[in-house]
Amino acid sequence: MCGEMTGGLGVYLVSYDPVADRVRYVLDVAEALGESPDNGHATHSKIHYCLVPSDDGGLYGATHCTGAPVGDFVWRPWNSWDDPIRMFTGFHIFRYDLETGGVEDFGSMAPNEGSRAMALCEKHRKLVGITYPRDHFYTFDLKSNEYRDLGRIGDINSQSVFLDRDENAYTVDDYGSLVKYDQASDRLMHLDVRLPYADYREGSFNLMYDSVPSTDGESIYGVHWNVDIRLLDNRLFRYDPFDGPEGKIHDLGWAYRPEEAGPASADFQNHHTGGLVFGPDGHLYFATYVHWKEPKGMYLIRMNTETLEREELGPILDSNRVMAEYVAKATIDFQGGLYFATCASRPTGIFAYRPEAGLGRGLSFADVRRWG
Amino acid sequence: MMTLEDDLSNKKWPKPPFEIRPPSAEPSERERMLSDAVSEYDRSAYVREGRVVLRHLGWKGVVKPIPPGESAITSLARDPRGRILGATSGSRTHAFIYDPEVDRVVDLGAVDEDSTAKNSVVVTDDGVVYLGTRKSAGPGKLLSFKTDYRETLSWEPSSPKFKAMDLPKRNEGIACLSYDRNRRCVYGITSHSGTFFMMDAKSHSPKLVGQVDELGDFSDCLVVGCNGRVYGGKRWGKMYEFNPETGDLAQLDLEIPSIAGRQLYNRVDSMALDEPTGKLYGGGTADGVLFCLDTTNLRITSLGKPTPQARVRAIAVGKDHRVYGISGRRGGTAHLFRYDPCVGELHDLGIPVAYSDQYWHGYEFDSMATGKDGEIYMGESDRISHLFIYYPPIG
Repeated sequence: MCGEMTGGLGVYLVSYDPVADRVRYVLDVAEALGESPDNGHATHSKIHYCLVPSDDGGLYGATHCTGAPVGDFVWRPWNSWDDPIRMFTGFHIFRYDLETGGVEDFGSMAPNEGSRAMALCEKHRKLVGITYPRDHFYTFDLKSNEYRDLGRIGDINSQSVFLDRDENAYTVDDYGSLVKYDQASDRLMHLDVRLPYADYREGSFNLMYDSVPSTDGESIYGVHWNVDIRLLDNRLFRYDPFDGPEGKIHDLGWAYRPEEAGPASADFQNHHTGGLVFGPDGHLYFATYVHWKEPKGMYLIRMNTETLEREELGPILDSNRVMAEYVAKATIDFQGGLYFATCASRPTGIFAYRPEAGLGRGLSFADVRRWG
Repeated sequence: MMTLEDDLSNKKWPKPPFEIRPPSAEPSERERMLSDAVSEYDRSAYVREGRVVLRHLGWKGVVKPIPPGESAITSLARDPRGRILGATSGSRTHAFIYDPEVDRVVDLGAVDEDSTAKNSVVVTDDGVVYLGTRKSAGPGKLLSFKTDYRETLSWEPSSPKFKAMDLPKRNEGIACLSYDRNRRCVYGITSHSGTFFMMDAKSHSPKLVGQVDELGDFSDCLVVGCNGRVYGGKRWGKMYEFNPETGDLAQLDLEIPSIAGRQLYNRVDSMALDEPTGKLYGGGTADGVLFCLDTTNLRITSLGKPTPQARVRAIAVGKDHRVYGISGRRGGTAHLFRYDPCVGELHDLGIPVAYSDQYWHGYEFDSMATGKDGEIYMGESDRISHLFIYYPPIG
């Protein structure tokens, strides 16, 4: 649970028990890491797409910044980089034990920087991610506790780092070109493979917001990030990492844009799409912002990945009939229930959707989510 | 037993800066004031006086730029036609050229591997470029090529002929170079022992003069003063001078400024000559204190610290006779600063952020040069690097 909007607030770990239908606050993360939110520094106010379950029974997390110090109403890293008090002390990587509730703090990794997105390479016992604001790619070896900064990969962070079946990690630079962390050589490679973009653009700000592995593990489905300006396009793509030496990208078109929405172009409207998750029926579910009809807000969409046919399942509403404004990421539970996390509105929340088809098998942690 | 949730329900929470109100409600005066302050705050860390642009190290959209990891620009120099010559450091050293008339960078090719070319590009009035490299161990390279390179078909890659020259010391590379136009002489320091050398630009035979520092702790920058003498830095903030008339290399009775007690950590980080006044401007590594050296009376004046950060990694004197520099340690956020000797004002201009050819924050810089029209070139030295151009405001 993010504490970004009020100076002096830290991040909390929250759990939802689908059997008891109960949300619980389980950890005051900043306090547990010795980074009290009232210590005058920019707070450890978020875990930003950096919370990943492991088969070892733990949740691996990395903290993030942008929450103001206590008493302040705004904070940006560039303005406080050299301020020994207001600076962000640097993101921590930690493990939360789901059985005992204990926390193992691996320490502060990079002064001034937060972690924007992270993935867990379970077999290699390694975390990989990207820092904010300087957009450096990092690895953290869970066997040796060694943090490595592999250098800058762009200017504006991509919001997702995904893995292929061999646990090579991928993200994109500002032009949507794939940047691959190659496990075998322990090096970054810049691939000649780009996310698709509309022909009225020159391809900059071509960033990725969310990504999810296909059910067979051979492909990755992902979506653009609209950044904070709404004139960008909003496409789904499929990446097949093992098709050819650098893999292949397939443009799946606008995430969701029925005819009634009008022509797909830069219209300064909110096109945010997030919360990509495969359901137990093998279909891709995601949330997208609908601005062309009332009620405006996030709608749940189901896509058949064979036919690319999209089906609008309806607006995402809470019990007070308030629309979700921004769905960030989604996940699946062991019974096939889908969960969508929202922010940008108060209160924030978790929305659940239960597809008709249940799971015919149990899921392991790795099936749930391997990256944040 | 108290749970976290019990604890949270009793907690005194910080007050949100903005009250939660229905979207239709008018913001309060306080909220308006805070919103305005946030808008100003968001822009305030970046360079707002003048204009910052960048150019990719390759013709954007046509050829691939110099790859990540080998693009850190660590040397810049201007040729007689106003073109900017540069060299990179990293897994490979590339030479490149930027011609303001065609407004693009051309990669002239890789000249060395796992190498650094710091302050090691000089151009003679005849258009001959000297480029030196160094490695962490073993010999580097000393190369020359002519800038009569012209693009025949502008999209065709082309490269000049690089001529390998004798290294001044066989198992060393080049720490830095400087050029005296009047004497047509190249000066330099070798990379490991820090041996000062000179090389006639016609005969190309290097002559060793001597070690600049007894403990081997020296700066990788050299400047030729208006008096023809060559100035450099050594350990503990000390400086030395080479007199080409006598051939003497001597330590000066000078120390560059630092915060008290930190002289042991200090060294000249960068220097530039203001030709009309003959004054040298430079900065120290330890605390980033800017100084001015008057070579006529050998007096050093401290001009202050532009930012809280250490180092002045690059410096140039503009056509407006103002001094421009880059403050900031590696791993931080670079700030461009300006010193105006007319009014004695030292001013932090902010972090260089380019909006063209690409939106990009410049965090690391290690070289600067002044263009023929007074524009300031800044060599970015990150894993992915660009040639930044700063156009100071007129007036």
